[in-house]
Amino acid sequence: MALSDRPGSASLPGMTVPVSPRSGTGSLRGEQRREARAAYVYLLPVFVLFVVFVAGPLIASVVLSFTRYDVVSEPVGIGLDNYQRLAGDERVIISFRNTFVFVILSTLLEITIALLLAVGVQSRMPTFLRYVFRTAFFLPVITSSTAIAIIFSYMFSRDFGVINYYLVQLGFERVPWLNSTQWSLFTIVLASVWQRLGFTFILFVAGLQNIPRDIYEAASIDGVGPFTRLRTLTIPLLSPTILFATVIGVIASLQVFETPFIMTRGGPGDSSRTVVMMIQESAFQNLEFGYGSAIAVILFVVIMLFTLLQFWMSQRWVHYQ
Amino acid sequence: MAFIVTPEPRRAVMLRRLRASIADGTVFLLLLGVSIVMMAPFIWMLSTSLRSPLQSFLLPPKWIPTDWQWDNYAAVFDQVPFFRFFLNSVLISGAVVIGQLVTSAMAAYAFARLRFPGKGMLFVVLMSSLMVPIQATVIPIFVLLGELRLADTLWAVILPGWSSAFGVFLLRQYFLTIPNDLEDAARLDGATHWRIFVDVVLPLARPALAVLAILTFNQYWNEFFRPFIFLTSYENFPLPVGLVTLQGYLGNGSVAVVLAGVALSLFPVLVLYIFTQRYLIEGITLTGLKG
Amino acid sequence: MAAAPSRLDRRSLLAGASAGVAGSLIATTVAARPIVPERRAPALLRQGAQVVRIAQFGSIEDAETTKALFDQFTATNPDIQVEVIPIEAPDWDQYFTKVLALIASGDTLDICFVATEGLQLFASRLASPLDDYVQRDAAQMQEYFSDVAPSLIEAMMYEGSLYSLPVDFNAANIFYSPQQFSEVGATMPSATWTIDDFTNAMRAIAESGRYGFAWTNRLWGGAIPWLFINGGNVLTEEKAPGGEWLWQSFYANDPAAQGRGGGIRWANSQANAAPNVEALQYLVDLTHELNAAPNPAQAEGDQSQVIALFSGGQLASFPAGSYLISSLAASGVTPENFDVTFMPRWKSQRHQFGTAGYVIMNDSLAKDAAWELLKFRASSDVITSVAAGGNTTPARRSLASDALWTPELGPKSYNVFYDTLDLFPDTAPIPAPPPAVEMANIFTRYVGLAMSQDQTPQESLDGMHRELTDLLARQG
Repeated sequence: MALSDRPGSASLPGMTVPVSPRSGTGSLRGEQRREARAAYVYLLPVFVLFVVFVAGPLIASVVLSFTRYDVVSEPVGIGLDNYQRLAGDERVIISFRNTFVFVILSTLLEITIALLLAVGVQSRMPTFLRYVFRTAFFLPVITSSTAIAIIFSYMFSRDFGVINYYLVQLGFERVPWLNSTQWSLFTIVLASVWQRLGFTFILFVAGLQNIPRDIYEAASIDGVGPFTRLRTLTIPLLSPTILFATVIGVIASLQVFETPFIMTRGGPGDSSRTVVMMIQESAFQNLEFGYGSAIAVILFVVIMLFTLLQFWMSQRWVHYQ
Repeated sequence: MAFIVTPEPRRAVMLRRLRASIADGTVFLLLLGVSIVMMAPFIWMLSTSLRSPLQSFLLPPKWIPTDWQWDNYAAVFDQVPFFRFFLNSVLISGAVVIGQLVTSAMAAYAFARLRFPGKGMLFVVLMSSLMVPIQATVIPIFVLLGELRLADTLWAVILPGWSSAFGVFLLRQYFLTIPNDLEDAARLDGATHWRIFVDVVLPLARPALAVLAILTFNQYWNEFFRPFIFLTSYENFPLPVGLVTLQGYLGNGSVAVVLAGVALSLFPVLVLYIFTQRYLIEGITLTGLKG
Repeated sequence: MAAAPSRLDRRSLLAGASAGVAGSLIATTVAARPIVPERRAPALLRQGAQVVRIAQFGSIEDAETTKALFDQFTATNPDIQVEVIPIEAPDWDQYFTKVLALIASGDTLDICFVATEGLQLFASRLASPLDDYVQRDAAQMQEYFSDVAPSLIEAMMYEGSLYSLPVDFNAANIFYSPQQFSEVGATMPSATWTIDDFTNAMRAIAESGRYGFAWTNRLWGGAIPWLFINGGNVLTEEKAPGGEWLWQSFYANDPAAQGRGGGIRWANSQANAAPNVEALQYLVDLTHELNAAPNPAQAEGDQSQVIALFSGGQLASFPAGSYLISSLAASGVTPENFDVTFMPRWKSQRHQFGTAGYVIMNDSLAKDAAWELLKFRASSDVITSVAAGGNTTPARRSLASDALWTPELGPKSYNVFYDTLDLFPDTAPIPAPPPAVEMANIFTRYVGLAMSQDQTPQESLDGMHRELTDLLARQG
């Protein structure tokens, strides 16, 4: 779980760069030039790395997507062939569909459960208990998805797994969690919601603490029930946090890789194969770097469109205090 | 609002209290249930890692270890160079944290404190890299690392981690909150920008630096995708990639031993978590809300 | 972006331009790369000795063992040194991918450990034929070839040339627990058992609440052996022309070498042929109708579960080669508790095998040294020391004896291992054309769909046929 992979810059107010707040005393031209030169020196490392490892490769991805390139021999320009093949490649289309289903399901579940938990923790209880709950919910966030996926791949095993063992004890049929096209993607959703829940939970707890108590007190005295209160008060007041959590959740889910890679290898068939797995498979298993780049470019466009969409939404819906 | 409340009849008050405590009790039980679900996989992992390898997957599961097979933990070190994986993880995460703190703090200082032409544009350009997922650039970076003869070295994973738009953003936000007085005083004493940065701003920004360090360390400690693609040789694997190799050829690694390896890899993170939980949570809160 | 979008036009343009420059620079570097042979590093020299770099599948421990083996050679040939690069992967396809990635990132390899699964992949673009060396050293090679079954040699040939000297192989035989078969009164597995004997035994064992059979979904030892005994195969098999130079010089008197060619061509898909559908249906029924086998895991099966089930008395039989004996021994399975036999007879008793050996890379500047190492590695002593302890079956017939599978190690019927090649000369290698990595992916994916009952065997094999046809057409 990438804690500091914090995208969604657009959702963050305060991005506008303020003019330097310092009230300089009669700033000399020379002093200004020296300050600017110093600034560029400070920025140099970050920008050199940015150009070499972000901007440059991004453009190179686009360039590569018009070639056939297997690394062992030279790249050959093939125009739009990769994109044409991609448009007709059922597996790529399925991987995008899976990714969207995954994004929607996991984000919805994550936000809903985390919100309920956060509201629950706000209720009357000893501070120590609150601390225990917070620790329990948050622990999976800091552990690696790889470790979690390995643990879950054993626990979700159809024939030897703990989970099916208890289901059978309770009189249910064994669920083919990882062995059926009906279930595999959903199982990956469960594993990933389990892991990321705590992160969203912490965001919501902090968001709730920012809501002035007296609003609630007024509401409770007015005899508003808990669910109405949630719907009419908490959710609107928490909307900036909900939006932020959604953006982070969606962008992280769009990039999901190791959980399905370790738990199902994308299977059965392609039922739990994600876009990133297709990129990895095309480029690093089949050595089709051009084709892999084309898929990567499409993924990037999707993420960019989504970021712009949520920025537009935040201006219309979110209710900043 | 309504400060004066008409006193309710006593029975109504009691009923309301009863209802409230039932509600609280239900909430508590639900939260407890969720906590158990959240902790169960860890407990299962620990107890299974201590079962004898032959029984490790047999049902019913055992939640409380009875066999205490510490041999499984020794086997982790026998089967894979676990210490080497651990060391690689420390080297990668450590080097990325140090590099990222240096580059981010410098850039953040310039953005927060210095005046220069093109500031707004450069900031937006840098922030836009938050929209570029690593998967979109991983192929050219792989080729580039090959050209630089850095493929399959720890540098392949470290170097691209040294620049972080998020780090710049986080630190800049914090630097903006530091009052100017001290700096102005230092400037009057004739201190250079560098001295002000190192002697005044950085010490004051220690909490933000700590938050960034912890978040970054955690991210790179757990990272799988890039190391998995950029590193081929065993001796360069960090823990997450190493764990997958512990499952072995055809997955013939014993479940108990694999889980012992997983448990060992989680241990440092747990320790870190215990000591830095406050910072971690503060960091998330800070980035999530103050934005 | 967020801030002041209206003012950003010129700025974004600038930003775009600067990023564009960087991107084009990288793209140009990529495009202008000289082709690999020109930029390869010269053969490494260290203290006056030529260093031969060998890619080895396996753990560091395996690499150390390999290194120690080759060091026996370099001890007497001080002008050659060996460096072993361990490459770990869950299965062969991922190993090949990693080797290719290593080469792509500019590494120079002289020798690669390769199995049938990737022989044609390497032969078609990366490895160098051994024909000249073999002919040059014909006198010396006679002893080797006379000890190696011709089917193993043919599996190492591609378009008329030999690319590797097989050092070991494994055919998918049936390992079983005699106790579990006799407890339920099932016909004891034997060299002449039939698919009906097998089915009846499976039914009886399943009724006793245990698993009769457990397999893993991969190219070797998965569904393909069942396709084979039912007279099927995923791809068409033809003999490539050529190879007479080898057969006539070394196998002139071996009847099993009659009609061998210059390697096998798997040119077209026939994945959805009737015998394949029937065989896959059989496996589906074994799991879902008879409840005699667990659903095989995705891609790489979890072999630890198979071993643990078997040693825990929960499983009566499974497909494996002699490589598994060491793991069985480590799990406390003694020779009284297991034995090995052939696949049951259906339409035939054709088995599936995979063989492994070392190839010399095209790029190597140390080919002569590499060839000496290949010969050394194929010598009896070295093959024996690698196979000892139940690690694999030697490619040399004379070594497949009770000196290797001692009574303490088992199994009693160890002769089954090499007899699979000698008694069934039609026993064939894993179908693995040059795009073998993609093929493994397609194959396991569709078999998985049939096993999870998301598709009928006919549907899944139709899908497999479609994708394999596309793949083979694309790769030409």
